[in-house]
Amino acid sequence: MLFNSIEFALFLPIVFLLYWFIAHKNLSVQNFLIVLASYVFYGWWDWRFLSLIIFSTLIDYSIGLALKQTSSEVKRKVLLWTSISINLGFLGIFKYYNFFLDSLYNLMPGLQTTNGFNTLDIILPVGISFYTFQTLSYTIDVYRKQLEPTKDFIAFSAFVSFFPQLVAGPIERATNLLPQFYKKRNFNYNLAVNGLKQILWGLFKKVVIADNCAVFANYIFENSSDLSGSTLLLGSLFFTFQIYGDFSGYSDIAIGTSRLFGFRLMQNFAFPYFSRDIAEFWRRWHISLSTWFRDYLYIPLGGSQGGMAMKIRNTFIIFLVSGFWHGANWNFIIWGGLNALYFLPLLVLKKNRQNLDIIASNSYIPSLKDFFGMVSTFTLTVFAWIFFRAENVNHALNILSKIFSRSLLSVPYYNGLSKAIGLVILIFLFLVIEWMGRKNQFAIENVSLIKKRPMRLTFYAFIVFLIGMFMHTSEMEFIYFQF
Amino acid sequence: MNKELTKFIKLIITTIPFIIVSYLLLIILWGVISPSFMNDNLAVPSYGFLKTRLKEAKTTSNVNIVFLGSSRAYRHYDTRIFEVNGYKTFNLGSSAQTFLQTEILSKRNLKRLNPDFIILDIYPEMFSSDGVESSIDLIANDNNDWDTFNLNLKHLNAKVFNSYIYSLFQQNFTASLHKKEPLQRGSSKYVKGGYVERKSGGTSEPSNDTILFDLKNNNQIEAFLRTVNYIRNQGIELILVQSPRHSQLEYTQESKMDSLIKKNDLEYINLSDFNSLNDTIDFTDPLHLNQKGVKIFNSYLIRTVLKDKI
Repeated sequence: MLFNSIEFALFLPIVFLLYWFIAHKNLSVQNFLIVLASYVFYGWWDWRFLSLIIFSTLIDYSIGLALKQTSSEVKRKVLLWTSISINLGFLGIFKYYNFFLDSLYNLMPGLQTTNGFNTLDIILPVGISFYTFQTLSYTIDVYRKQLEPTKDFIAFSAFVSFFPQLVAGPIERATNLLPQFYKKRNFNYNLAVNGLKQILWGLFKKVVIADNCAVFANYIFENSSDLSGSTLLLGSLFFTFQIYGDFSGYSDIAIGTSRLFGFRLMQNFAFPYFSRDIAEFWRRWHISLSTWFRDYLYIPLGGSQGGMAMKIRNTFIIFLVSGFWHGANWNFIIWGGLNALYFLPLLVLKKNRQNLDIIASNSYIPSLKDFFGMVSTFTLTVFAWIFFRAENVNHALNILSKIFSRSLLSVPYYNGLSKAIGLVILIFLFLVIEWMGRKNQFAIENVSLIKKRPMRLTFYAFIVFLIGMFMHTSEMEFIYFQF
Repeated sequence: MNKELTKFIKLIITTIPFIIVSYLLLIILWGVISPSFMNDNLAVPSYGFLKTRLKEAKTTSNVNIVFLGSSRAYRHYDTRIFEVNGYKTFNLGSSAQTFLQTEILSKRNLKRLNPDFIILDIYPEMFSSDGVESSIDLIANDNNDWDTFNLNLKHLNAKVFNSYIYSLFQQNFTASLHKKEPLQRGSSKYVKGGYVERKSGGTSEPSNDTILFDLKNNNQIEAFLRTVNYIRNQGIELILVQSPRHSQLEYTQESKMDSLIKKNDLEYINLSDFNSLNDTIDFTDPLHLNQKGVKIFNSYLIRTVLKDKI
């Protein structure tokens, strides 16, 4: 079920009413309702793959309990690696099997005819990368004794399958989300109202900004061989806003929906395009994944301890793995590697933690230095996104070679580009609102500071109107569903 | 009930009407003031001359033949050629018309036009299209009633809804329906009786595409069957015609459409690969004849199909 669908518009109020009017007296019933709703939400896409979620739930629940019961370090390690192998095994089969086989055959073409292995015609289960990492965080935290394993199977099932963030995050840490299922939720007015506002803003980002940018970005990337460098650069810019609107919009809807049910999820995007350097960008982009890799990969590898060589090695590993997490394709790995290269000078010069505050936190406009940092970081990001969006590495390189050619100086053009004027105005409006709200969890959170209610309502009505006026009339999937 | 929950429900109940009313007012305001490039989901189409056609239909009665269908209807059946051959005809085709709109147009106009028979020009996409484009055309260019309100429920589409609201405003508070639209737009010229002639003629490059088609839009199938029943109940003879298209242009699973027609015992003349036409010189594009092609096609229809009818 998509957040931007009629089905979800009916599903959400039904679950909300059942949750607060029927199930509110009993914690187990509340949790059971969440599990049921989550399975319906996921099964709406394909019931068959629910079995994977249920299997993963059973495995990690049992391993969590077994980890508690044994004090033998060897047995505990075996249990941990069993969980990691099973979870990553599923991910490997569904997501990476064909990639490894194709890469192997490209490297050694002779093997293809002799070994008899063929690529599989398999569907990638929606959200597998997200819920796999979430359940892994539980097992690892229990193994590290940072979290008590749960005996409550329903609460654990709800944690694994919690529908707002099941298919595209935020990837919640068990230490944050699981304890929330142990406590009875009482309705919190302010939390729910904020949730509604965040859903509204997330919808705006997705259906107005991302979906409209997608039309132009898709056309330009799909016809890149016929278009000028300047047009390709424009397409890259549209994709830059598409992916932000799409993914952060999904996160906003997910977090807002959770708030309606009394849950607090972690912030996943903190206005990343206002970052002054690439290190700040990565502290603000897909925060739940970046911190996951930090906690479960970077720190175990030694993190920033040790010499510079080790720091550089660890940084590259994190970025390359992060790229590979996004997709079984070389261009995602290069995208990761490119970001590591961007990061490298900051790491070597020990300037990777110089911008920890919010840009222009005491003024309306940034200083010249901050502005320059923001523009240069944004530009670097745009170029990295080309690898992310392109069909393959050659495609990305062709686009880049055209961008860095004389045709960059021509006026961007293709038949139909004139329709983008309206979109450019919308993007400008979007950036202004994001800039005004950059100190908050989401951009329109501070609209509640407007004292006069009619003014506030008029603002919300205007956002609803923009959604109705500029939404795509066919539902468009979220980009991160494919990961 | 929890006090905070009560407060929240009250907030929702008081906010939703405000948002709805504001939304409706903003649509109207936007329709009046915004430039066309900011009107993605608010369309007032006039490319198919439907306003002029329907206005003329309201002052026409007792014809021999009514043509229904998409642009392939209003561009393929030249009322002047039929008149010369002794048939009084009216062309009720409209842009991208699907059966959802054919049904409404039939109910609104057939009693007055009182034809002896109807030629409904069909092609596979009429069965598979969502019909949004044509619904907006109808909403913007004819009076709105319960039937067009129902189109909103069938489509559940922001573009249809916004256009409906703006059209209601225009039709009730302005003289939009009475304003004359130009009778020539680009190379297309409206001809009395609902036909649209492409003045410059035009030619086309041969195409041998295969268009994916599957008969699975139940809304359209149901509307098709209801329309057939309505026409039959009026005692009007119905002929389904598939007019010519490029000889190499194919639709996958077109046979499913043919089976549906056969199952309902309908008279169907399939001239999609009419071999008296040349893809290059008789068409302007793979789905539309030019005036030269129309003359050949209409003459054939009159000589063969209509010869024994009247």
